[in-house]
Amino acid sequence: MNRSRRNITHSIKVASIFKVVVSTAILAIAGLTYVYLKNQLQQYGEIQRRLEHELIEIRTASEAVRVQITQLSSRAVLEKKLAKNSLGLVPIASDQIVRLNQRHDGIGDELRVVSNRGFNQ
Amino acid sequence: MRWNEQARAVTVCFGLVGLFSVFSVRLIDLQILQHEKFTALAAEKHNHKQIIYARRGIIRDAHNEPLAENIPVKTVVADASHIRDPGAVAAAIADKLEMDPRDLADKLSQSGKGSKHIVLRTEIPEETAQKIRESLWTANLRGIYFDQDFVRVYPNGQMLSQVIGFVDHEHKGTMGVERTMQDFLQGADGFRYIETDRTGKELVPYRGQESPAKDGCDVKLTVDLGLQNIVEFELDAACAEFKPKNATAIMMRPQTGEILAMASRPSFDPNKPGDASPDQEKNRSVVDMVEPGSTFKIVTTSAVLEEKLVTPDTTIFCENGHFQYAGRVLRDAHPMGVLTVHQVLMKSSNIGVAKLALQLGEAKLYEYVRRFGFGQKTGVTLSGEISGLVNPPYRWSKLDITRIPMGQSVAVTPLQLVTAMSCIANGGKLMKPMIVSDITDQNGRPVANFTPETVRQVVSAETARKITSALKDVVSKQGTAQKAEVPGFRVAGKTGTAQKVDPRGGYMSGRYVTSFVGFMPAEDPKFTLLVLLDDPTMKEGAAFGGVVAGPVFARIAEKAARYLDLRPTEEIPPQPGANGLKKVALSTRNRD
Repeated sequence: MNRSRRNITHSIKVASIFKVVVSTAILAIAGLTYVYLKNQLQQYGEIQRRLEHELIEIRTASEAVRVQITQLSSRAVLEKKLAKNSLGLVPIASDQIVRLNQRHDGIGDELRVVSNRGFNQ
Repeated sequence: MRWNEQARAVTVCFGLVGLFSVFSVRLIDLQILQHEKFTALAAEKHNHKQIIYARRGIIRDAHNEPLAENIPVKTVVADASHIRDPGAVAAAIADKLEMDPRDLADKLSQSGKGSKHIVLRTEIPEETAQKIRESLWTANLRGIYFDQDFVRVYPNGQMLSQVIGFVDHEHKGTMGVERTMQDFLQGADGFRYIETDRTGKELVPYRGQESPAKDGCDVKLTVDLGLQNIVEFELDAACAEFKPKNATAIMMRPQTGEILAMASRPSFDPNKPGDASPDQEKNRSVVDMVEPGSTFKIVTTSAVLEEKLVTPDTTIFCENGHFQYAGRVLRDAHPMGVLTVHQVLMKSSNIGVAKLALQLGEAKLYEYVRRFGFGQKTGVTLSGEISGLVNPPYRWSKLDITRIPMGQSVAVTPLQLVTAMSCIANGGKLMKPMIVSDITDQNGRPVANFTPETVRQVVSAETARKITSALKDVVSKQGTAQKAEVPGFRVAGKTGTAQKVDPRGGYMSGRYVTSFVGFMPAEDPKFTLLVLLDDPTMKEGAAFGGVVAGPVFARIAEKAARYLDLRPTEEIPPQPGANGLKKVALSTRNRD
């Protein structure tokens, strides 16, 4: 009696279902994680690409500006500007240069009286 | 009924098996049998080798002023496989590329859908590239891309052009330092294998092998742009005044052989190399040879003094300007009688120096000519250097022993001449000329360091001192180059006035190569300077080295002394219009 009653009960195999559900969930989570990570990788790759591009652009712009500064401050350009703007700069004649002799007594930087006697005489 | 059910099930199963078998076969065909073909096809469509361009090194002067730089530019390329409407793309960008929209559309269409790299325009500035990007973005178009490139620029234009040289369209140095230092300057391009999506955008996670670019090294020259500027300015002034066929000036530091300035005329702008003629591109300091004339007399005089055959006070009879030897007459510019060896050099007597050479003998003369570095390349790192022409004694005519000492029957480069004079200034020690001082990588680490190199001790310091003494008197009222005097300094130097060689044989009448080579201050030389003007326009009989090249030397040397802050060793005569300040200058100087 008991035996036959047990046969027709069809008890639910909770453990097996749980295993399947858990396995499926793990697989699903793993799959979703994979897709999510793949997506993240793609996004970070895109950010990396954009930043690299920006870096190159900034470096290029900086290089271009640096070269422009070099060109504008080159001797050739400065001399052209000097000639064009007629600043009237005159080189100092050799006989108009006053040379102050260095002391050779090994004493330091103490203040000394300097006299240009004879100036404009 | 049961059988029918089974039959249906079996039929469906067979059907499914058959269907999946077909799929499987196709899958095997695609994945295994045709694997190579489809991999290649996919790679062709999506995989690219991206070049990472290396930056060419910068050339700088001795004070790190840039002489050659790179301006970043873009090359505009189209990928036809990404362009759906060539007309719209052309309309959006044609004006920015300064192209006709129809021509551009044709170019984009005719290139076919398969063309992935159609070069539309090169060397466009960064700003234009940005405008094109914005236009395409606004019109929602794609298929136009930009390759990074650069243009070599020379900020100082013509200055030092023959020394620096220029690069060709492939960025390879074609002359000058750009050529000789090509291996250091060029660097090495890098690469990266990338995958792109169907729109041409890179898929960063699928990057393959990558090798970074190695930028070129920076090359530092020994040239001082301040001195170069002085030399070029005065050379231009001399060319305007004397209208020579060509002109050369070289300034060298005698103790090290460093070239401080080097200029040739005619010149060219390396930013526009296409406009230059081969004549303008020549660096005459190393590729041209001339008969040096009297500047060569230092060789024979040094040799006889070194061999102790004479002393500076030994007297030579200069035949009153008329010396017959081997059936030909040798003349002096002015008839002279008895001169000391010192005076022979000072007054530049052809006969005196010829007699000294006869005393020395052919073999010894040839030996000293070679020891001073003539007839062989100096080894300077400049392209196209020639060795000049010095024949060995067995090829000399009977006359050559009297002609070579006065700078005929030999041909030298201007650089050899200034190096030989530097040897005298440097106590008889011949230095190898240097134009490159060091090479550094992009992080400033030294890659190569060029140190001064002594070639040989040509004559003793004592002999060099005796020659210097005579050369000091050359630049005086008694000598041939009074106009080379520099106020406040003693100059030692030698004039040269060589008749121009006629290509058809003999010499050209009334046409000369005038030169002056000297050093300053004579007691402690800071620089040696050669000024050479080929065929200056002068009145008949006035084209002398002391008259033409001497004053140019003086002007350059005076400005160079100021630039280098050299302390005058002699009183500076008052100049017209100067105020009382001069008194102070003299009194303070005397307190040394």
